[in-house]
Amino acid sequence: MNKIKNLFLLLTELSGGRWGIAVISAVFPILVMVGFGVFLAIKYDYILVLSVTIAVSTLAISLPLFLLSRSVHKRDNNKSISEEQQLQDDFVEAAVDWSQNEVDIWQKSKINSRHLLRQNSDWNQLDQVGLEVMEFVAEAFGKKALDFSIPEGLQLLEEISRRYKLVVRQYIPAIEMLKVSYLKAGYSAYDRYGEVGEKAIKIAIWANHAKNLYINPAKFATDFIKEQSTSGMTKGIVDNMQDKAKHALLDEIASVAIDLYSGRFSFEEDEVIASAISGQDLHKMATPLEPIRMVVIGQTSVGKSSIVNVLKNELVAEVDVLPSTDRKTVYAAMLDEIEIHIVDLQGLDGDQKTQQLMLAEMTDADLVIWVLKANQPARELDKNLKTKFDDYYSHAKHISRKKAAVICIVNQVDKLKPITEWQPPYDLIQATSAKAKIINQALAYNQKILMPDHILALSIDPDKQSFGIEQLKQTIRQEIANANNVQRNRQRLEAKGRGITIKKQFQRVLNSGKSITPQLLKTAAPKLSKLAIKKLKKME
Amino acid sequence: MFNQIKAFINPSKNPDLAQAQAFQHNHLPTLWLLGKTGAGKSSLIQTVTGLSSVEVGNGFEPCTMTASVYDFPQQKAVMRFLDTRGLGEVDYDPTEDLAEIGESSNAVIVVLKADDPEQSAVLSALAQIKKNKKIKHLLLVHSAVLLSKESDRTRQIAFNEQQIQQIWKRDFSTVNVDFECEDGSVYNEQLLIKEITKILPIIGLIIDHKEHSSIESDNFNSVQNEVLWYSGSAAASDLIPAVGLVSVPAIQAKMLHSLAKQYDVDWNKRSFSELIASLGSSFALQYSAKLGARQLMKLIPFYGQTVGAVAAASMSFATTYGLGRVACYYFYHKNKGESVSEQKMQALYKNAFKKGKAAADYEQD
Repeated sequence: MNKIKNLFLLLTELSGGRWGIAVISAVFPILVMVGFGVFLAIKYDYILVLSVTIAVSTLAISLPLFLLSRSVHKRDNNKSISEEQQLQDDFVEAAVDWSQNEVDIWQKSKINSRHLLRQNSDWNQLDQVGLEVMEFVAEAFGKKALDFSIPEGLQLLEEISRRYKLVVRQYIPAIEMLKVSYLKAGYSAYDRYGEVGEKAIKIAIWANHAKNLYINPAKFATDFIKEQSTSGMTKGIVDNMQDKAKHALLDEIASVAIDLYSGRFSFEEDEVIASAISGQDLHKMATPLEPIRMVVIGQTSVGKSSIVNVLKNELVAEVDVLPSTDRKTVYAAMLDEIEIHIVDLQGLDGDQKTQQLMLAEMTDADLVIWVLKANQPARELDKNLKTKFDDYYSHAKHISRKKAAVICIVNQVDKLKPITEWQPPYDLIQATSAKAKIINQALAYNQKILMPDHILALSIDPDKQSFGIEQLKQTIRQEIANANNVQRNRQRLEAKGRGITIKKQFQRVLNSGKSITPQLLKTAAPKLSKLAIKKLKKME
Repeated sequence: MFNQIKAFINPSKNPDLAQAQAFQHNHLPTLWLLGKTGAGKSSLIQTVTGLSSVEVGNGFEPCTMTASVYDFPQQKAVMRFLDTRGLGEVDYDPTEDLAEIGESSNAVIVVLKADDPEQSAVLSALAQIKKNKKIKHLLLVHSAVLLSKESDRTRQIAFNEQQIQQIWKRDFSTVNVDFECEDGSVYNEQLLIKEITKILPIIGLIIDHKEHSSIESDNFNSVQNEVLWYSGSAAASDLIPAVGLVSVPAIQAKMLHSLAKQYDVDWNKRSFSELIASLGSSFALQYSAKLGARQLMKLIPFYGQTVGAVAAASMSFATTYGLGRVACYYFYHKNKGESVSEQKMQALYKNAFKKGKAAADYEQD
């Protein structure tokens, strides 16, 4: 009884005190007309016609609605099946400088967070779910959850907030007009009146809309959008929008966690400077920029230096038929507007030391050019190095390293049989001549063994017509964006290597302990603060 | 005595003979081809033997996936080529193959592509072969030399040769070839055969591309491989203890019988006596005395089993070859109704004996 009384009071309040007037002015005339109509139908013997009309029109409207609702239900089922696809059209995207391993962790975390949300999707519980997502990522990195210092933790919260703000702004309509008090009203009504309250709120809101529509249609429109995007109590698009918003929050947490556990947060952004290897190169080059670092790999005398000359458009690298490049030389080249450092290395010669050296250069490269000689099929040395290169990135220690793309060049294709036939250019896609066919076969053979990202045919014999240079340049252009990301990844990780040690981080927390009151921490981050207080108490 | 001669003239199947031939087949002088995949090992064998069964790759992927054995000539083989899988091929560890092949080979031919200075796989294989000390003869073949410009070629060849020299540390010959000339021929083919003959002389007897001075020697050339094969069988029979005494004359008899048939000469007691007589009266005595002494030596314990057998084998090879040579000369003229001079026959025998001795001596090195 008390509840009903309260409900009436709430309704009156929400409808601006005009509840009675609204009922009388809207409902009473209709009721009068209904009574009048029935009376006339009986009097003039239209009762049968009226009944039939009512029955037919009810069916005509309710049948399609019934079918429609069934098909919507079905589509819902389909939706859950295409989860992978759903993951694709989410708001938050993977960072470009992540390694493949990190992208994998990201994908797994997304699937995991969807799973957690299905179990517990209440906004109030999301902080708990968020912590679970962080733990999940920490586990994937083989680290303990919450294993970070307080400044790191605060930076973490700041970063999540900053990124989430951007996402929410971009994707949720009319979000600026949404007031937190509005949400709060909904929740408190729910708390106070339970299920009845939920429904009452809905009626009250609609009543309010009706009133606004009557008084001010424009305000109705904005109110309606606002309500559709915020209310947690209506089905349909609003639910979907809310799900997406929740997903986005958890994804942001996962994304920031990946950055945290890969060590990217142990330093400030401006600590990222040129990487060590580039520093070495710069020393040799005396150039203040860090261009794309393109490393040229291959067996002895397969034509690495000749390719350097072609890319530079001048004869700078020493070219000889015998092993000539006995140590690395760096050449600065321009491709369109892009500056590239071409690192010309000694050839693979079966020596373990050389192989180690090549591997080190490759893992410090933004782009790898792998030169093979078409008419020399011995691939043991190449295959061994490629396996080492691939293994490097699957090692747990290098989980955050992004792998440079490998462009394989099958060089000297003019020397494939029939040797006398050489009339480039050859159309390799629709190969008709014997030469084009054998070039394709040679490409397929080398592709199968080395599995590079790209494989190209090339011939740059100075005495013959060249072939494949433009395609090589085109492929390098294509890979520039990725090469930049590889470089960024390397720079960050190297900066991390140079950054403040964990011990020093603890030291900083200890020093600043007096200036941060526990109360302040508590308001900033409840979960973190508990941990921080514990730590601070221990240290003191 | 009469029965012995009768048996000699009409040789029947002899178990010793079959044994000797089986032994010969298992111990053919063998040339081992070593080189990176795609260097041209199979092309070399095809060039020398002309065998169409030798599979030659397309140049951009490995072709010889297992070691192949090419007996040459295919019928009545007197030598063997061993074509191994190319070194430096992905997922191929040659250690086991190297040890196994090293046991059965007499000489190694290293094939290096002139424009490929990366020969680490070949060099380490060669170091292993040298360590085993089984093979002492090496021929270095630089292939695909026409692919490079002349100025480059000289330096490339010198570079690769120096790499081999540093490992092998003994003298060896080299030859520059190209199996893929524009006109389809092989560059330096004759030089290649000459150099291979130096490390395995018997090959020089099989592949004789010289112009023949007479129709007679031309005719001999066509049956020469058979003579070599019988010579090899005779040598092999000497390497099996206590078989030689019986089988060397038996093998020779079978050879003469077969040759006479091919020259369309009646082979009977008379023609046999005439052949022996035409070699001079001393030959018959010498022939039987020498054979006896050699077989006695072979029966002396230890000494006879090794040195004796080896010496006997090369003698048997040389005498069989010499006998085959003069028999052909004799049959050729007999068929035409001409007489032969004793001096000419003896000179021919000595010459052939020397050639045969040289070819056989090498094998026992």
